[in-house]
Order: sequence, then C-alpha cells, then structure tokens
Amino acid sequence: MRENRYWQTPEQLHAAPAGTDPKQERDIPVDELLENALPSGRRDFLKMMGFGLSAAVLAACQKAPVKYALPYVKNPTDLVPGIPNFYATGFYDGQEFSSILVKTREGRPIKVEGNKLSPLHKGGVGARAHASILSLYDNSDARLRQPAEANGDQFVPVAWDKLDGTVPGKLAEAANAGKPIYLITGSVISPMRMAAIAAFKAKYPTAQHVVYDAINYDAIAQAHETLLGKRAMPAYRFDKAQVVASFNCDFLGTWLSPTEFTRQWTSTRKVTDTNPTVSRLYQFEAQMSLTGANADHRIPMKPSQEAAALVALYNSIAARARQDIYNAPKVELAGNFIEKASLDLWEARGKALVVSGTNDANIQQIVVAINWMLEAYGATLDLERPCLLRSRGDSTLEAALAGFAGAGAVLIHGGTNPAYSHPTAEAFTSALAKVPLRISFSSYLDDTAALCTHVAPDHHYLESWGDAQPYAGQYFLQQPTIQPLFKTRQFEETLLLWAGVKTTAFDFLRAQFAQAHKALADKKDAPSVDQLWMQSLHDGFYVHPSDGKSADAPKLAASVAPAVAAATQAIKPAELEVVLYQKVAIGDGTLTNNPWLHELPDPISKAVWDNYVAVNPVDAQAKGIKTGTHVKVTLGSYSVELPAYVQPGQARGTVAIALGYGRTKGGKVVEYSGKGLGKNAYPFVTFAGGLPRYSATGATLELTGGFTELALSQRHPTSMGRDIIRETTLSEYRKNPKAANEHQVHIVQVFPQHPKNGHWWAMAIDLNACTGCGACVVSCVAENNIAVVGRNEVKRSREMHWLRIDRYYSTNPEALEKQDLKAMELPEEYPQVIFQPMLCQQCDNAPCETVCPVLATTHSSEGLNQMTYNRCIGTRYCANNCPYKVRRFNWFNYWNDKTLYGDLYSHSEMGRLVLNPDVTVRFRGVMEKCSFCVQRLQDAKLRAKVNANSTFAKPEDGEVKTACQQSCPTGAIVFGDFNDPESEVSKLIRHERSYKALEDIKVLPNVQYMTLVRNRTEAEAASRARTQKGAETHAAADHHG
Amino acid sequence: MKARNFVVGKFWNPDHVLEALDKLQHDRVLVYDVFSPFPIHGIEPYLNIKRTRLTVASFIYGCIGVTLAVTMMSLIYGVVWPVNIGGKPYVPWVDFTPVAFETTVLFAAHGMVITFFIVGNFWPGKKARLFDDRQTDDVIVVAIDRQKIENMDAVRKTLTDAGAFEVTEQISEGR
Amino acid sequence: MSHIVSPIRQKWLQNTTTYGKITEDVCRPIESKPSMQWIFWTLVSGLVMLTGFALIGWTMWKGIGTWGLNWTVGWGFDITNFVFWVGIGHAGTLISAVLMLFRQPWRNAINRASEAMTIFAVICAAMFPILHMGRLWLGLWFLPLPNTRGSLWVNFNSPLLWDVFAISTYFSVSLVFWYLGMIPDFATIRDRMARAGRKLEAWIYGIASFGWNGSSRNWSRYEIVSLILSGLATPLVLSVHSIVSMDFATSVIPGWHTTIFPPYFVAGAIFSGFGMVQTLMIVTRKVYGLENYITMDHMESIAKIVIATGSLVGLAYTTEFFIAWYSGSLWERYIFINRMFGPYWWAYWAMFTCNVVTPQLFWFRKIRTNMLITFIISIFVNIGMWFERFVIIVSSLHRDFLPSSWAMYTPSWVEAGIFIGTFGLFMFCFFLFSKYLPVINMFEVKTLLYHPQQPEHTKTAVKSAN
Repeated sequence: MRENRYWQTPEQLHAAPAGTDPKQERDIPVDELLENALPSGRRDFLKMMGFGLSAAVLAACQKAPVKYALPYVKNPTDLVPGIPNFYATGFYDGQEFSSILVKTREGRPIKVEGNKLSPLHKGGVGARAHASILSLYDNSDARLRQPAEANGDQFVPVAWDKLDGTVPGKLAEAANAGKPIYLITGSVISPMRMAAIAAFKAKYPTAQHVVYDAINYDAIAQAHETLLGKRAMPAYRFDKAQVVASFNCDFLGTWLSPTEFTRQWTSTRKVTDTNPTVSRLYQFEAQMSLTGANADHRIPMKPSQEAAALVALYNSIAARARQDIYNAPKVELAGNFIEKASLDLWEARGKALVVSGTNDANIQQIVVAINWMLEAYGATLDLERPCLLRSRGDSTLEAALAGFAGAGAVLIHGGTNPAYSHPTAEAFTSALAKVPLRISFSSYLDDTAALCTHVAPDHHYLESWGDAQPYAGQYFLQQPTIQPLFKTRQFEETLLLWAGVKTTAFDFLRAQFAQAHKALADKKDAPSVDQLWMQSLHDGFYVHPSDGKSADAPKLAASVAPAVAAATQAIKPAELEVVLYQKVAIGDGTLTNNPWLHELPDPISKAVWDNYVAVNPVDAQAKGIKTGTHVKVTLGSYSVELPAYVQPGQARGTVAIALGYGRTKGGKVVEYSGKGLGKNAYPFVTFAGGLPRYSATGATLELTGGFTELALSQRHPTSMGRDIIRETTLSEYRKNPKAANEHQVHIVQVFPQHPKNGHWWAMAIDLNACTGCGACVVSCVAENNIAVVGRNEVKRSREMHWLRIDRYYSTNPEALEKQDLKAMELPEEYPQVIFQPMLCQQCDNAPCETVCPVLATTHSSEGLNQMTYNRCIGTRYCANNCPYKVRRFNWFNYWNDKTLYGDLYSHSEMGRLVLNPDVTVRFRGVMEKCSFCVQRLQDAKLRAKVNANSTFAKPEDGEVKTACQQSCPTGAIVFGDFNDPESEVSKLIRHERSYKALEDIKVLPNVQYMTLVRNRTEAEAASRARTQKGAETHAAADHHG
Repeated sequence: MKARNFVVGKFWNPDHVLEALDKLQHDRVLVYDVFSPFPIHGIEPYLNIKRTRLTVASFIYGCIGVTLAVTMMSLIYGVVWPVNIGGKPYVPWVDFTPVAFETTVLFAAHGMVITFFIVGNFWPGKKARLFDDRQTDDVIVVAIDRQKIENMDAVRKTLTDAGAFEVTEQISEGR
Repeated sequence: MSHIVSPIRQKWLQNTTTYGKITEDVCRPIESKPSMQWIFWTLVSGLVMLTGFALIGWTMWKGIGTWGLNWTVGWGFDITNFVFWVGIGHAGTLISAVLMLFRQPWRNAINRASEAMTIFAVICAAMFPILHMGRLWLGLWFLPLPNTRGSLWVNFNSPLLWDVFAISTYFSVSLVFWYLGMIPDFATIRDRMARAGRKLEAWIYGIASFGWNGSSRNWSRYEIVSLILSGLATPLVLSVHSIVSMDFATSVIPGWHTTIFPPYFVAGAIFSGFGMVQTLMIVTRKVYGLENYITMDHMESIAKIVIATGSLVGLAYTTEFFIAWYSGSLWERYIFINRMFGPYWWAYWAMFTCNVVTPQLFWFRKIRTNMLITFIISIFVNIGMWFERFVIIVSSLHRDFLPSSWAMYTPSWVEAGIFIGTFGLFMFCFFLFSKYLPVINMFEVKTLLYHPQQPEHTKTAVKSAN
C-alpha cells in the first residue's frame, strides 16, 4: 500500500506507516508502579484500580490505527480549514490565455474562476481553463511522475540527478561539434520562458528555438508585414465594432482568443432602454460555427469561394472609398450579402471590422486592405499594442526538419505534440528518429514523448511559477497553488539548470520581473518593484500605463494587387471540400485527456466524446447519409472513416471534421478503454505558401456501410414552433420593446402564495448575450461535483449536467404555418440558431415537490427548490413531472463504478481531490439537480453577517454569484435577490424583454429569460416576420391550456 | 361447558329441516342448534338468532380510522412540521382525502373481521366439535338438548316424519 | 313451508344432484395425487419466477441503470407493469364483492378463483413501486413512521403515497375476504381428510378452518360479515384504481394531465381483469373438469362484461382525443397526435386493436361460446391493456414540453426479464392454489342446488331403535 499512496499534506509524505514509529510504541510503566504499590491498603487498591483502568484505556489508545489524514501540527498561515483561499494566476494551453483565480480548500485547488480585475476577460473563463484543474489530479498511467529514460521500447524511471548529470554533457558535446540543437516549443507568450530559452541558447550556441503551433495564425502577421510594414498580429477590438464581417472565422468559439472576443462582441449586443442598439454580424462560413450560430446573417460559403468573396467585398468598398478595383471571378452567395455587408461596413467605417480565419497570406492581405479602407486601424484594430498570443522562433518546424539529420539533440516542450498534430507527422517522426538525443518535457507520455530518449516531465501549470504577455503592455503573473504532486520539475528550471544557471523558477521569475519593471519603478512617485510585485501577484497582472499618444493610422506600404491576383488564381473549385475546425471544448487537442471537456457537448452538434464528419442535409439526403452512417473521407493519400453528422447550415459540397481527436497515446481518457476517441484529421492539413491551411478541396467521400450511434446530449433539432424561446429583430424592438413578448399569461392562484420575507433568489438570463459557448456548464460541473458518465450513458441520454444549453434550429416557415408536425421536426438547410441555457427553474409552484412521496424535495423560504439527497429514495416521479426535464438521476454509482466508462481518472482516488467539499457526492438511486449553488448563497450570507457583525446583514447585490454566472464571459446570467427592488436581477425581471419559459403551465419559475433581439437587415426581418407569426399564433393557441 | 346429552336429527335436505324446525317450534321444543354445510336462509327465527351488531362495530371502527388519519396528517403538517410543498398551503385538506378514505376502509374491514372471530370464538387450530363428520359436507344436523325435552317420542317422530334419515342421542359439549 | 326459490338458479348448476357430489368434484384435485402435467407446469413457472428474482437482485446490486430508462422517460416497464397487474386484480374483487351486492348468483362458482387471481396479481403489482427505486432497503421510508431524523414525515400530497395506502389496504382486505370465504370449505376438506384417515392433511386444514362446524349462529353472522366486506370492498376497488390513475392525472405532463383518468382507469382495470378471468377460467374448468360448475353461461356473461368494459375503454380513448383538440392546448394536441403517428405509433395501434376492436367479436354468440377463440381474444385483451399503460406512460413522457429533452425509451433485457418473472410468480402461485385450495366456493355453490336427491349413504343409514 506504500505504492501509489497520495499525500495530502507534507507531514503525510514523511509520515511512517503504522506501528513503525517509535513514538507510537511508548510503554506505560505499569509494572514498576505496581511493585512500588504492592504493600498497599484499600485506598491504594482503589488507586491501582483507577490507574489500571486508565492505563488499559491509554494502552488501547496507543494501538489505534494511524490514519494518513493527519491534522496540521502547526497551522499554516492564512489557511483556515473550511475557508477557501483564492490565488490569481494565469492559464495558457498554447491556444488562449486567461487570467484566473484558483479556489483552494485545505491546500488543494478545486475550482478555476474568472479574474474580475483582468482587462482581458473581466471575470469570464472558457471551458478549457475551467477543466484544466482536473488535469492537475490526472493520475492516469500516461501522466509521468518522474523523469524517465527510453530503454528499448519502454521507459524506465530515472532520478533527476542522473538526467542532469548526463544530458548537459551530451548537449555540450553536440554544441562543440557544431551540431545544431533544436528546442521545439509552442508559441511562447512568457517573457520568463523567453529569457530561459535565451540563456539556454547562450550556453549552447548551436541551439535553435523552433516554434511550432498545431494551429497556425502566421498569415495575419505576414499580411501586416507586407502591407503595413509591421510584422504583428493586431489586437482585435470587437467591442468597438458596430458592424463585423467575418469570413470563415470562429472568433466566438475557437479563433485566437475566443473568450476575450466573446466578451468584447457581446458587450455590443446587450439591448437596454438606454442603449437600444445592437452591433451587426455577417458570418460567411462553410461549417456551422459558434460564431455563425450567433450571427445576424450567416451566409454559407465554401472555402474555395472565400478569396473571390473577399475581393468582391474589397471592390464594393473600394468603389465607395475611391480606391482602385480589381477584377475577380464571379461568386454566387445566397442573397447578395456581400453588397449588403459592404454598405453596412462602409456606413459604419471607423466602427467596422472584417476578419478572416483562413491562414493564407494573400487572403489576409485583402482583409488588411479592406480594414484599412474602413479606417479600422487605431479603432477596431490596434497595432500599437499588438496581440502577442502567437510568437515566432528562429525557424519553423518544417524548415528545421531538414536539419534533423545532422542534429545533436532535439528538445521538445510538452505543450507541443508534432508527432500527432503535424500534417506530415511521418516526416517528423522519421527525421526525429535520426537524432541521437531526444528529450521531451511533456508531463504525459504522449505521441511525441514516446519517441524520445528522455522525458523530463514539466509541472502542471498550477504547480508552476510563470508570467505571460498576451498583449503588449499587459503583463500577467502565474503562481503555483499547490506543491508539486509528483517528482516533476518546471520546464524553465530544467532548461536553466542545463544551461548552467542554478536557480529556482521563482527566483528567476522575480529577477526577470525586477528587470522588466525597473524602468517603471524608477519613475518618481511610482511604486517600488516589491510593491509592484506584490500588487501584480495579488491582482494577477500589471498593465503598463499607456503613454497616451494615439496611434496615427498606418500607411499602406504596398499594393494589395499581387495578393488579389494570387488569391484569385489559387481558387480551384471542387466537388467536395473539407473544412478542418476546432471544437470549443477540445481545441487543438492539447488538453484532450480531460473527461470534463469530452463530456461538454459541442455547442452546435451537441455531440460528446467523438468527432465526426459534418455533412450538409441536402447532400446527405442525396447520398443517403444519416447521422451515424459511416463515411470515409479521402484526401490525397490519407483517409478517415467516421460517423457522419447531418449538420444544418453546413455549406453544400463541403464536409467538416474537427481537429484534436484521434490521439493514440497520452492518458486513460485519450485511450478511452483502448478504443480511442474519434479520428485524427490533422493529416488533411495542406500547405500553401509555407503556411498550413485548415481547409482543402478535392476530397472524396464514400459510404462504408457501417453505422455508429453518436452520443448526442440533445436529440431533437427544432423547437416545434413552441413558445419556449422568444425572438425579435432590432427594428421590431425599437418599435415596441415588448416585441415577441406581448403575451403575458394571466395567473390565477388557487392558494395564497407563501410569503418570502428574507431573500427571494431569482435569475435572469439574457438570450441576447448568451453565445452558447458552454463555459458555464463546465464551471457547474466543477462547482457541484457532477459526475462524468461517459459515452454510452450519454447515448442512453443519462448525462448528469445540471445546466444544459438547449440549441434550437429554426424550422421551415411554411411548415410552421401549416403546423405540419412532421415537417416541423426538420430544421432548415441553413437555419437560424438560438441557444437557451436550461437549468432548474426553482418554480414556486414546483410540480416536482408535490409528487415526491418522502418529501425529499421541498421549497425553501427563499424560493429555492431544495433537494435532500439522503432522504431521496429514487422514485423518479419528480423528474417525470418536471416540465423542463432538468432533474438528473444517478442511474449507477457514477463516482466509483469503473465498469461503465472505463477507468477515467476523474473517478479515481486522486481525481476525487478536485471535489468541492461543500457539495455532497450523490449515491446511486438519488435524484439531483441545480441548487442555485446554495452552498455559495449560504457562504455569502454568512460572510455578510460576519463582516457587518450583525445577524440582519444581507450580502450586497452582485456579491452572490452562482458558478455559471461567475464563469460567463458575457454576463448573460444575472443572479440576485428579487426582494431587493434595486438589485440588477429584479430590474431585469421587470424589463419588457423578460419572460418565463412555459409560463402558461403556471409553475411560477424563478428563472426568467430575456427576448433575443437580432439585428437583421429590414428585408430579412420582414421575411422572418412570418416565422414569428407562426410561432406566436400557436403559442397563443396553447395559452388556453 | 360440560358435556350433556343431545338428541340429534340428521337430514340431507334443508327444506326438511325447516319443516322439522317449524313443527318443533309449534310443539314448544327448544332447538339447541342446527349445523349445516351451507347457510340455510330463513332459519334464524326458529333458533331465535338475533341480527348481529357487527355492522355497527364496523361503522365505529371506520370512524376511528378516519379520525386517526385526519388527526395525524393535520398534526404533522399543521403543528409538528409545516413545510412548503410546491406552493400548497401547509394543511392541504383536499389532498388528505385519499389517505383518509383508505384508512377508514382498512380499519372498518379488519376491525370487523377480528371482532367476528372473537365473538364466534374462532382461532387457528381450534378443535371443531361435530355431531356428524359429514355435517360440513352434505348432512344437516338438528341438535336438541335432552334435558329440555319432555316428550321424547314426539320429538323423534317429528324429526323422522320431517325427513331425518337418522335420529340418535349423543354426549357432546355442544358448539 | 320453505322459502321461495326462483328456478333461474337451476341453470348455474348442471348434472349435479346432491351436495355430496359438489364436494366430491371440488375436492378431487386436492385429494388426488398431483398430475405430471401439473408438476411440470408448476416447475416451469417456478423457474421463470426465480429468473425474475435473480434479475431483480442484479438490479438492486448494480442500480436502476441496468434498465433502459433515461432522464426524459423516468418510468417504463416498471410502472407499466404495476398498473397492469393492479388492473388485473380488480376483476376478482369486482366479482366477489360487487356481484355479491347485486345478488348475481353466477358469481358463486367463479369468485374463489378470481379472488385468488386478485391476491396474486396484487402481489406482482406491489413489487414494482418498491423495485423501481433501485434500493429496496429504503422501501420503509414510504411509511409515515415517527423517526429520529428531526421528525421527518412523508408527503401526503403525493399520489405515490396514496398508492401505498390504497394498495396495502386493498391487498390486506382482499386477502381477508378471500380467506374468510375459504374457512367453511377448509372445514369440509378437514372432515373429508379425517374420514379418509389422512391425519396430516386433516390437521393442517383443521388449523386453517379455525374450528368451523357450520353452526347456524355462525352462519348468520358469517353472511353479514361477508356482505359488509363486499360493501367495503366495492368502493375500495374503485378508489384503488382511481388513485393509481391519479399518479398521472395530478401531474402536469401533457397526456397525463387529464381529469378523465379515474373512471377510464377503473373501466380499463375491470376490462383487463375479466380478460384474465376468462384466460384462467377456460384453463381451470378444462383441466379440472369443472364444466358443470363454471358453465357456458358463466363464460358468456363474462364475455358480455368484456364487451361492455371494452367499449367503455374505447369511448375513453376517443373522449381523450376530443378533449385534447377541444382544449386548444398545443401540448395536449401534440401529445395525442404523437401517440398515433409518433415514434411509438405501433404501441398505440396495438392497444387500440386489442382493446377496442377484438372484444367486439363477442357480440356473436358463436364466438362467445367457442372457448378457443374466447381464449385467444382474452389473451389479446391482456396484451392490449398492457400496451395501454405503456402508451400512457412512455409516449407521454418521451416528448413533453421542451423538444430539447425529447428522447426514446427502449427496455433492457433486465427489466423485460423481471416482467416475465412476475408472470412466473403469478402462475406459480395460481398452480399451487389450484392444487391445494378449493378452486370453487363449495358452500356457496351448494346454496344454488335446489331439489337435491337423497344421497346413498343416508338411505343405508340404520334408523334408531323403537
């Protein structure tokens, strides 16, 4: 039992097992006492009796089994058991950066929360950042606990000293021999890491820093270099844009810094009485992305059409801007939206923005030119304080591969996994095989690490010191929140050690910080470096005061003509085009060994645990494809066989496959009980102009006859024209703030309502702000100890998420008018999409409460619908009687029944360290559901009382935040006390846009939704009006019920 | 009850029995009891059996049941532990109806049956006292207390004429 | 001077002349050795029953997840079977109680068996509410017991709790009624066994007979008690299924949220019950040669009741649809259209054909009197009524208010096995009953015999001296 023994406190680590501790063996001197006392009278006898008794008791105590959960001998400073501590740190997975607060309880991090102070997200956190905390407790075999050395085809653990003894010598050898040493990392946004690499290069002159990202954004920087003479990726300011035209760019879902962009963009979408304006978003794309789903106008566009479309847009704007026009091939897009967009953009110039997600220098040049004409630079684009999320090294991996043959050593940072994610992985692996010394810093034995001679595992980021500079002038700090769990060592430390610099990560970082901020600190009446450090460590960041000089608009350094020519020539339309996209949860696949992320349904398809081939409905019908039909997509020499997913909105003649799946090594989840998850689509990536493109033409698709049911958390695509989601257009809303929301049900109460004298907790959800990203879902999972149930259970529709995000496609308006029920079940080919977060509505007349035979669910005096887990006997009557179907039943003992989903570490002894001690873990046969984070409510109430030192004190409005609300990047969820007329939530609930879902069944929910307001062009609005009508008439019909 | 001497007339037809009883009553002969494999309707007046009061008992039991149920429920919800269930009032009288009804029936039925066993002195394993081992099959027995008979011949004649296929004297403890 | 008896009674008994013969005929299976056939079928049903128990054990060990349910369709086979079996139970009580109140003499021959059916059916039914929780050991929490958990009581608003009271009352009262009815017959068997010198049986049945000796005083009390019991059982049987129907009627789910349910369910219960009575009687009378007691007239009157109740049920179906349309409620309309043409259309049409169409064949005397066809139709009725409950529960749940949560339900082999197991249990009990207990109420049938002939043994009896 000494093996795989996890220690929860340092004392434990050193604690000896039971019995061996001499202290435990202390003997009580019974015998001699007895001797002395032998000649004794009655009193002595009694004494003896008493003593004997107590001695026996004491002896018994001595033999008590020693538990490993030892109490603190000396209480650590600022650690009160039961009171959480929050530490500001930073999360960067090679894709996006977020500044976060980590909640720790009794020394273990249990939850990631947004950092309200952070200028980037203002408290919002993405799904991946949320889930990353679970990876800390990953004890799957593939997670390395100490350095290892390849011996034949398996790895044997070695001591750090041994590694440090051998490696530097070999490196020096190589350097002296003039052999190149390649250090491969992902984009480095950390000055500290940069410095460490510099030190390494200083020590080994032949060392080259190779930067390799699975998803490459270099085209943007290149385009700016060519046209504006500055090689940089601008900072995008969607919050300043009134009109956005986005080409194949999922900036709300996965592109560059989605969480931040989501916050920016939705800040322009919130309709209030004071500000009745909404920005307008045109989305031209092939696969239905999160951004497309939220767009006012989504225009299906094949990848091969993009260049022509952009040129057309360019021309139409150039005509207005009196710039020269280029001839371009005709492009057919639905409804002449290029023209409409250009008009809107031009009218909103200075507040307009065009973005493209295509990694093609020419296309990006056209985009730059358009933005330049729209006076975007200095307004919606910032080149002065550019985005540094993507960095360059000395060379690209492709360039470096050639040198591998003669290389002395290759060092690979854990963040990158070229053997898996590189399009020509074989080329990489074969080249790598030639290198004598191959060292990986990966914490996992992933595809690349498995090919190395040595693995020097890096810390988890929550165990590391570090910093980040996502934007020029914004400096974020990263601090550890727990002692390293395993014998790992931070990447920088290792690198420095081998570079001969003997220091700790902390000291190094501190030194770097001092250096970097000396200039600032030297200014008079500026805080000292130490003050700065403490402040930054507390806030998690430091923003350099702006020098105030406004950026003057950049000049066009060159003509866009060559780019246009090249781009338009490059067009080769084909029968079938493949779009490679990232999923919101999985991204490029770095964090894929994380069950929480796999269980988070894809916002659009609602599929979990797999990737698939998204096919356009019409194409699917023509080819006889149904969701689940196995199709084989072939491009060049590579082909994958995956189940198809009939995806409304997918452009005809295109299929979309998600990247980041199909890894073979690196964790129990990745291997998913030996079967693996999905298929790898990276080999489909093609190179154009030295840059990887994430779309390709000329693919072929064939049916293989197989069928696999996909695990979908939502099975029915449309809302059947029911009065669940209310939606209007800005023009309608301007005319009438109650548009689409006129109907209010007249409630007749048979019984008098129970008074709520104290708090009355209520929630308002703004459908206009919700983009459906799903961050709240993961946050809820982390906060409320929600079990992962695995693929098969989801197939049986038994997922446990308390908060789900319903996604509805618009159905065919004619069908709606005719009330053709069968037709209403089908979405349009290119539908509108709407998201509705659905959680327990905490009804005041809760149907679930009435039917529970044992009073396991009852109503609190604060309007909460409470579950009493240990009273629940599991009749499931409440769930049946719940109109919103938000109650979840523990069909199995999900927390320790490994037979269900294979052994996911989230259910292992160590994985359970992530559990929130304030929330019960539910046994099988118990019903559970959203509790409005009652543990947070109680906590806030108590803190308010303590702080005010009064029993009557109440928490301030906004002090109480539910987990979902806390994590929402857009502030779509507002929670508070409805009894307080000044609270934000009660204002929202009284707002014209506010409505109750299923109000007519009179269960009096305490969750309200705010009508969705789309900003469509007049014409479109008119054509959609009918849809609305249809919906409303039937809504109205139903209100008699 | 100590054993006594009985005159026993055995019949195979219930109608004959009724005839015999009618005659005996006319002759002022007090019949001790009639034992038959099945109920003979209209026999009560001859044996002056009064209508049983089990019906009343049953009614009382029912009242006890309903009172108990309603009191308990109102106490629990009104006094002991008022709780807001789905926005209903603390004491939802209407919702008490089903439970109250079922409890009534429960008490009425079982109470009555138990009483029946007690008054009839029935209990599992009780030894049955029989005048004829076919009296639960196809023989009807008319038993008359010997002491209560002045004119033995007349009685025997009455029984035989009525259709008794056998008339004997037996020592028995009666019922 | 004897009481007047209407000659109509005669037709309920055939070629039976003496009381002794009735006893003979009814006791024959009890006294004779068990037939191979009987042993075989008893073993088979017992085996099926045990398999069912094994699967129940597996469910309890592993969790309800072994069934096909999900969070949209929280009830499937479990509650369907529960309502199905309770429904079957009702015919028994109806025959023994209601027909007694209406003084229907033909009930006397069949009430014993149908009461037995009630008991066994209710046993099968009562299993499911406890089983479907997945944790048997919490079944006790259903009861309003004083406890140490801060005075934690049950929810008297919950129809499920009403069920607990209704079912337990119904079961215990039926049991008592059934047993009370058997006491005189036990006495009969006791004495016959004693005469045949079979001490053990005599002793056992002696204990069971409570020392009954047929005294007129007891008879008169006895008859009153049975009368009152049936008077109590009649509203009870109606209330039980009304309350079961309230599980659905009081909820908000479209397709459940219906005021018509109580009468509709009661009619359905009687319907299914008589279907089962037919099935069992046809077998019993054939196997034990009781055609003289369970006559063609019996079978016909049962068939007539089946037509009546079947048509009632059909009326209920149509009424539901009319109301759904008339209410103008989108939810209601959809749920009923979805029942007919949605994913579970087959279940609906199976129900409709079996319950409304096939029983109409009983209008024809030829079919009524053809035991084979009657048997087949009765099986159809059973199937149809099971599907009715399935349709009501599953097709209402699987597509309720929010389309986002719509889902399908497919039973797992475990729950299917448990369902079959209950049939094993039912048949097993019924086989034991038919062997060891009088399947026909002897003393009540004897009251039907008018103008009996003199039994042989009385003729040979020696007249007492002088």
